[in-house]
Amino acid sequence: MDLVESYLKAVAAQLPKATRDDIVAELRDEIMGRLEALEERLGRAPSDDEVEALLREVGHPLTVAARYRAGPQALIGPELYPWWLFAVKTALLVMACVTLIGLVVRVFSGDLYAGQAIGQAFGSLFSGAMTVIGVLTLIGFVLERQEKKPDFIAKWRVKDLGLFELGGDIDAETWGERLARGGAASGAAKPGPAVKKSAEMSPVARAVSSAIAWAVLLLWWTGLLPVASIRPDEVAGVLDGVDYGRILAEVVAAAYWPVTLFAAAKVVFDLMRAASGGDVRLTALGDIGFGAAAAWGLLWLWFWSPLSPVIWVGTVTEFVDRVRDLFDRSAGDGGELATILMMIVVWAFVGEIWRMVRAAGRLVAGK
Amino acid sequence: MSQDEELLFESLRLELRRGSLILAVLASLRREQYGYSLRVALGEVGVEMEESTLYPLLRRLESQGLLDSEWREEERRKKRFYRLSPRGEAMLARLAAEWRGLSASLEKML
Repeated sequence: MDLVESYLKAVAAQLPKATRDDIVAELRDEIMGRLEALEERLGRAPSDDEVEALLREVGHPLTVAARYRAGPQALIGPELYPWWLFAVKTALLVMACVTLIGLVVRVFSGDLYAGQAIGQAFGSLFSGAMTVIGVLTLIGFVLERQEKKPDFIAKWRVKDLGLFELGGDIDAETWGERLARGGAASGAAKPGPAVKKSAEMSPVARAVSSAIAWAVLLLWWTGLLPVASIRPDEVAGVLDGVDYGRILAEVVAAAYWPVTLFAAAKVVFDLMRAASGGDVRLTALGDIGFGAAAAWGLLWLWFWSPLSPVIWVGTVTEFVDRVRDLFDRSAGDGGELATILMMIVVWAFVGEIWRMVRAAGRLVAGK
Repeated sequence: MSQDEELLFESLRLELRRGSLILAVLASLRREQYGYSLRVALGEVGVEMEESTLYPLLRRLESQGLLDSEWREEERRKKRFYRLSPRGEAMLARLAAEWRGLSASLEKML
């Protein structure tokens, strides 16, 4: 009898207080009924072993109690699971790209030997992957327990489906291609992950993918996503007599909070944008605001940052001369990196201004 | 191979039967029963159910208003007796019609 009572106590501990006594009383009656039937069959009182075997048949207290619980019985249910899997695959793909780019940067800047760098990259990729999977699982756990699943699960649009080609076909061939595109898309000053957006995607899908990309960038920038091999302040290298490692460290130190704030604001804004159903005017306003902030950041890089002495030129003629030099001179003369950085900053600035102009147009037209 | 075949059959069989369990429970509870006696009665007609399936199911059906229950003492023990509620009877009639329809059309196909 003690066996049954200790068993029931273990079940009771797992049950919510409100229904505990009721369920345990009923379970006790069931077990007693079974014991009596067993006794009748044996013609004697069952031994402790036989009682225990019977309890094992009833089930482990954790399992038995779980059946009475109202909520879902799975960490992430079958409806949500494909979404979780897709998110994990995409996040890992983006992280692998970021790590690889960082690896290349580190090896070429002479900061590390290739072997060392590869080892560290794998180490950081692994811990980063664990963090990402953990966070996504947590999100999935919470979503699974919501009464109403998020709209994007039920109300999807065919034109958004381009997004799902991203993580769906991870194979060696498309991998290299994507990697090349990802590498080309990220600038030198901010080598963040670039989620490719197809032009046909709806505003909501664009907002969501933008939020994801910026969130990953934010986590990486603040060091929460330990893709350590390319934490910007850890890259070191002297090239053409310019200590880029020191410059980068100083730029990062000065720009740390502005960039953090910018990325956080961008994530919040993108989520708002997605929630509003991709409102055109809201998006345009945001593009203007964020474009202005980014343009300001580039102006800072150009005129006042520690990088300024390396990249600054006073006139358009000087700019053109430097660019021409880059192509005329044979490799190894030095100064290429400075010129390339100069071009990137100017190009990015023009890009931001163009974005703001287009956004202003959309703001006026409303479409 | 034949062992795999058996395992596969067993899992498909369980899946096939799962949907009919509710119908069997509702039908048995046209007559008042308590948990253990219900389980035995179901077992006798070949519908075996684990208690960890049956009891939560009874609770759910009661919270859905298909069953009524009361605690009563019998054979020196307090037992919870379940019985089909008027709503449960109506629901059982509809489900039974559904079952017969499904069974008839399947029968034609098989």
